[in-house]
Amino acid sequence: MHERANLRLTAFRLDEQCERLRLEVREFLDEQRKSGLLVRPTRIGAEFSPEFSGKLGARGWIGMCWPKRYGGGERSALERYVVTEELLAAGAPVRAHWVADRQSGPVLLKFGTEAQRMKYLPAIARGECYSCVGLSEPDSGSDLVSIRTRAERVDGGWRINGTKLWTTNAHRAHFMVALCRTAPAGDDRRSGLSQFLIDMKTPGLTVRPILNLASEHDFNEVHFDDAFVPATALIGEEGKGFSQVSAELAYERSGPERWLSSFRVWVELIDALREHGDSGSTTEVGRMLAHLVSLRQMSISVAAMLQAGKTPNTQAAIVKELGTRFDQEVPRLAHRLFDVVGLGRNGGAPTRAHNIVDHALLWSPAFTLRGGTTEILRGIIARELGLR
Amino acid sequence: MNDIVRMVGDSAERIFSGQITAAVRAAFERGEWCADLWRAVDGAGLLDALGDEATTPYAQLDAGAAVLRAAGAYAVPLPVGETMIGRWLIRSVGLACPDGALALAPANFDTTISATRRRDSLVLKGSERLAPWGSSAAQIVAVAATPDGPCVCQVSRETVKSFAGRNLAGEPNATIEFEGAEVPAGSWALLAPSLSAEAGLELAALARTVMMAGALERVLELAVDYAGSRQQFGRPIAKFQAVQQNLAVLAAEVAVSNAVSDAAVAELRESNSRTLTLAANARVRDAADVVARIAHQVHGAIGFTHEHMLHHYTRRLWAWRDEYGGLAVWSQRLGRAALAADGEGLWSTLTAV
Repeated sequence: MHERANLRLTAFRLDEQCERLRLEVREFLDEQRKSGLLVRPTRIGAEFSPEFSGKLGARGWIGMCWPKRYGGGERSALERYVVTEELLAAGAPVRAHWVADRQSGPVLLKFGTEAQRMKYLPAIARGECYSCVGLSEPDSGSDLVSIRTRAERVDGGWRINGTKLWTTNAHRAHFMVALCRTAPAGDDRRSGLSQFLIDMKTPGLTVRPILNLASEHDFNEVHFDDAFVPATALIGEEGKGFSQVSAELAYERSGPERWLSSFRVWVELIDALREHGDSGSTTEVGRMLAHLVSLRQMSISVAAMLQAGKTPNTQAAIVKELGTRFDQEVPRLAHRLFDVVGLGRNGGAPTRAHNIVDHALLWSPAFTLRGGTTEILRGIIARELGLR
Repeated sequence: MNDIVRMVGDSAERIFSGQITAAVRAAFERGEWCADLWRAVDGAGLLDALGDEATTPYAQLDAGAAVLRAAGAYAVPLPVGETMIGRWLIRSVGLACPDGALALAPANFDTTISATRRRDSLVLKGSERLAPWGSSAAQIVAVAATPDGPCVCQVSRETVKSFAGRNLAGEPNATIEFEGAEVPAGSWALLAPSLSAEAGLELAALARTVMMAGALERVLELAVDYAGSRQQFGRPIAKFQAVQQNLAVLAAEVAVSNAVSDAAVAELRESNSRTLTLAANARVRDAADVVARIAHQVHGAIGFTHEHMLHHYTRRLWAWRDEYGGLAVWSQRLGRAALAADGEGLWSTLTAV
């Protein structure tokens, strides 16, 4: 019988070293709770805390896998995985350094010049330097190669014109990694795109806040009006931006954030059901937790495969497709169970539990849109099945 | 996966694919016992893959799982899991293994079969409903509660009253009255202390999980093949995005079922934890539901009939997911484990090794 290797994930168990690291992280988090730097979240999504990022960086838990000469720890992908899932489950305020650690740093490591690496990576690893990602535009979301922000060669560098959209944390980042068109598309739509490392203080660059469904300022519109960047801002090869970005997106595709975004809802739900639940709600909780445990197992296996130098593209897309739909379903489950066991809000002030469920509901549409929509991910899986 | 496990799995696939012809399936659908198939499967040693080590009872679980996965992938019309586990239980207490097909009891978690001593025999009490393959097996391996502890009993079907039935896949089962059945000396022994009273039932449930994972993978192949060859509107239906998206969802369910069932087998083999086992048993039962629905949607009208072999799989998925504990049983257990600690303790519960 034909076995599809790309639908198999080797059963993998984290070793003792990883489990010891897990306990270290938990001790660290307990210390931060005592000091007040980590408080029990009242919302989902990680808060922005330069102080926390600094403490985490001092422990060597940002840029964990990077070479030591860039401030990294030369730890394994699995160790990084363990730290990540512990931080997210605890609701730690990791927002500030998150993107730089997960995406922008690795891009510089893989494609950047030595000068770029030396300038940014140590500062990122210390938890002091934050980045944002310039990809989407008003007319370009899933169809990334249709972007129109252009970088024209001028004396000593590039002149950038255009608009990036949905740029998370642009208002608080130090630099942006932006994809721009540097040459006409030609026959291959993917050619002629390049990545740039842009200082957020560049003249001609303006940031406008965009409020999301939860009425929060997270997104921004970033406008480039004849913004000049030096030649040293180019990352990697001119014209190879698309393949560089594809590598970048693949790094984060299967991480635990894809199914831990709603974890704090679980914490509230468990507390509420211990007091008010019944056999039926126990069964529903167990059924959904089986999904979480299964997703975790897949993430661990994908991390192990990445560590072993494999490229589990199908498996990673599957983890993201299943994980984001799961994360979206969790606040709906909580809302339904609260209703069923009589924890609706007739009278009385909303509890922390209600607030977190509300907040998660408001965020839930984004889970299956960001970083690759469900429909795009299913298209990728279909391609891997040989259907297109 | 080590070489022995791969060899055992390959051997199982070879026998199943070679022996299970359309004629064999048709005979089974008519209610016949597939004697030739049984001889081939048993003769190849496939039903002994779980081994017999009493002190490390799960040592060969990965090899056993390879046979079970293949049994699911080929929708084998024989009590593969029951016989494998029955022999494993019998050997674990040092009894001689009988020839022939076996069934297991209890087959449900809310059933109690008990026994009292009468000189050197045990006399059984209790009954079991819908024991899979109970009407095909000459012997039933029953784990009975006694004042001295759980006992593995080899019960001849001639000593009990049984009422034959079939599950919705047409596989035989039986409701069995054990009341008064005598199990003579040499046919019973105390269960090894390394195994819990529920060990047989727990393993049977995991066997169904692994079988379903194998079946899900085969259903994906059927669906991809069908979509690639069925032409409408001048092209294979696989070219339509709606069909592609459905197949992608199906493939995702296959992948997660593979991952979590493999992980559960490893967990049972290597630790005392049961989190992955509970999660796998629930998750794969959920997946079976989604996969059956999507597969039938892709296969259109012909998949809804006996003209296509899809029904051999989807009827089994619908039947197997309810055997040895359905989705609710496994969800309950995982839910109760999660609710044993408070909200901040949930993560520790889920990540405990």
